[in-house]
Amino acid sequence: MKPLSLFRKSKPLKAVTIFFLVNRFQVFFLLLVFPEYMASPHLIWLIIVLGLLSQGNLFILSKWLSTTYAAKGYLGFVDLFGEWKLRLFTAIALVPVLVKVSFLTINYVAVTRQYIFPSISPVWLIVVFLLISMYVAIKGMENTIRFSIITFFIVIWMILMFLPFFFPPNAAWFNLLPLTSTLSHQSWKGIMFIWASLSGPEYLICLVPWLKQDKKVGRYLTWANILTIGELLIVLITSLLFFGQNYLKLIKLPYIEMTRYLQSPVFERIDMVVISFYLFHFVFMIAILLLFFYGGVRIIFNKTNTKTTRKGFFLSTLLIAALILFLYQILWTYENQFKVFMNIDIWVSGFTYLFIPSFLVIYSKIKGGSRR
Amino acid sequence: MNRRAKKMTIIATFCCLILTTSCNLLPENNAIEEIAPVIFWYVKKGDKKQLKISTAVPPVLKEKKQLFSLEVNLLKQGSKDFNLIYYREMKVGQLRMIFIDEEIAKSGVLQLVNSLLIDPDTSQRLFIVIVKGDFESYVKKQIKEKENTEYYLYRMLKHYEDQNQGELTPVNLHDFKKMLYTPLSDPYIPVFKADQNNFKYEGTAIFKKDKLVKVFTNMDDQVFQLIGTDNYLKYLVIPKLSVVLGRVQTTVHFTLNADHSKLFVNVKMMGRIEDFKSHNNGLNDEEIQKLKYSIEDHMEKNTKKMFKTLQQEHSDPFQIGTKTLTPFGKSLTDKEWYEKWRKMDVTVNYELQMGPLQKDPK
Repeated sequence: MKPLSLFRKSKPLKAVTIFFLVNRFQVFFLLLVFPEYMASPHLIWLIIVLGLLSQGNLFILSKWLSTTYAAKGYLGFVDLFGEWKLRLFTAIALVPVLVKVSFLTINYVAVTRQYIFPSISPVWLIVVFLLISMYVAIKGMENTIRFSIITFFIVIWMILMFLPFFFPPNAAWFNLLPLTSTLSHQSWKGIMFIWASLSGPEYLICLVPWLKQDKKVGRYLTWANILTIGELLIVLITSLLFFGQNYLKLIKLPYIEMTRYLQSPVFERIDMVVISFYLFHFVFMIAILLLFFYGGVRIIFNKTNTKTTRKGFFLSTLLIAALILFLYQILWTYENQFKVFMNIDIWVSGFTYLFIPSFLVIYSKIKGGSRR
Repeated sequence: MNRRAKKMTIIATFCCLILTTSCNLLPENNAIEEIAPVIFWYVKKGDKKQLKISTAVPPVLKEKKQLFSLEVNLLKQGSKDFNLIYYREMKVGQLRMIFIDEEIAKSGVLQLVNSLLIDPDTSQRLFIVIVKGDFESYVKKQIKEKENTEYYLYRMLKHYEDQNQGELTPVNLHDFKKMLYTPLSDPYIPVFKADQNNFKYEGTAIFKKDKLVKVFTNMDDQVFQLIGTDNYLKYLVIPKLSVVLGRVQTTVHFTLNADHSKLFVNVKMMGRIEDFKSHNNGLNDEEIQKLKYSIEDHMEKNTKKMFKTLQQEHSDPFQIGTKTLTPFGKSLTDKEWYEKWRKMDVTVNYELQMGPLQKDPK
């Protein structure tokens, strides 16, 4: 058997991969539930404003990505924090990874169950989906990053499906009125939600070693961000037009419910096709998060110099599977717990997106200053 | 054979083995021989229990068709109980229409519509139709004589949905719920009348929230189609003036004054004379002018009458309330609007353009 080398670097991937990576990190599950929590037209403005803020945040991130610390990868982090601190920080960083893995899996399984396999045991689905993700992950980090390109093209066209909803008789433009509203409880929730939907690019800091150092990184980040904002806007506006504000508040997965309304002579149930295509996206996300987790565990136990082993990877995946199944057993009991869980995910990913880039930049500034 | 190929073969064989055991993760069976897809449901007030629901089975296979009826408390209870009295399992994946008896509609359809929309198996494009009269005996008689009665009904509704012709306005679940939940608007549904031999379009049912309050028929219905929908009427029949206008299209402008106490309805109507009872060989200019005025006058009167009825019933299916919305600023609440709507002064103005006319005989 060939030795497993998950974190091998053969040749650096093109910087344009960042575009696909970042965009796919940003939109996934939150896009599907997004309009449900944002059933108000004035949030359209907030998406644009927060998009600009996120752009600023990405600027900070790209600044850090071009430092010498980032260029050196793991050793750069060791330089920056020192070994003990790095191990501590990694241990903390595993928390958002675990939250994201379990949140995505449980919710995706719930969606699949609702629309495609209502009678299959969810435990089975969790196990099968994790196995598929593990298969992708075991191909190594480099291939998983490349997989993001496939994922991107498999999922992105779906936004075109919503075109018919912009025209009568499906659309009623007065549903967008009034465009303003005073800031309320819902707006604050909406702001959190949009920010969490824009989060994801912070995971790039774990991927720098595989990506080519390029001046264009900032530009690709910008394009990815613009595309994400566009997607969020399209989905929000369509669902407002299609359902109207009040009805939208009662719909659970507006994205999928809208595709259910579409007709095609070939497929009766377009929602099934959409959900199955989203499986690619899901598998990509989980695969890369599994690799992050394994890498993180190796850093914590100071095993970075040894070879990656099948046993180690399986063990860490098994740990994650156990965690998800455990959480699932607690979380399935009633709907409210889902909402709590979703809030936890929103807070955690919003927080990491807001603080990681600036934290890294400030820390390296301080370090650079004291060195001088 | 190298090791990789060997491994793949073993895995493939293993997968095939599992498949051949017909060991199935899915407890659901969708084999066509064992199920009966249901195309429609008919819901009626029951004698003892709340609902009486009926459906015809089997709609696809060449078997003798039957009409089943059951008395139940809840709609989904019906789908369970049907399975207990029939050897096939009924599936709602192909459910296309729901016929609701007028009685039930009068007491509110929200419960019914909700329980249908919860189920991801039923399509949101499910047509809702209100039925007057004895629908059961119609179906019973039809299934003896024809093969695909219910499918033909579906095709009819589908035709009018696609073509936007104003003979009738099909409404599906999604439309209905959207109209119901949009503030400042009320839903409408087509009404059919059934007896032993016929299933005939009757008019449009107007709702106040989820309760049926009024059925527009004949002239009122034609006015409703012209004013309230995007449809064009293939024929606009005005028996009182003994004239039929064909291919009638309208553009309607609703204008509200600043304090929402007056509504101006401007209707531009285009059509051509298709039928006319005349003493002469054709129409001369003078007669045409006269006819034009009398049609305009007649339509204005009827439209006004219809608005009056809507105001009395506190119903606003034309969604005129949404005209009060502005991009900035606060919107009216439902209660405020209906208070104003009730007292609103409506002025109707028709402008008729008559399309290509016959040549003047003189």
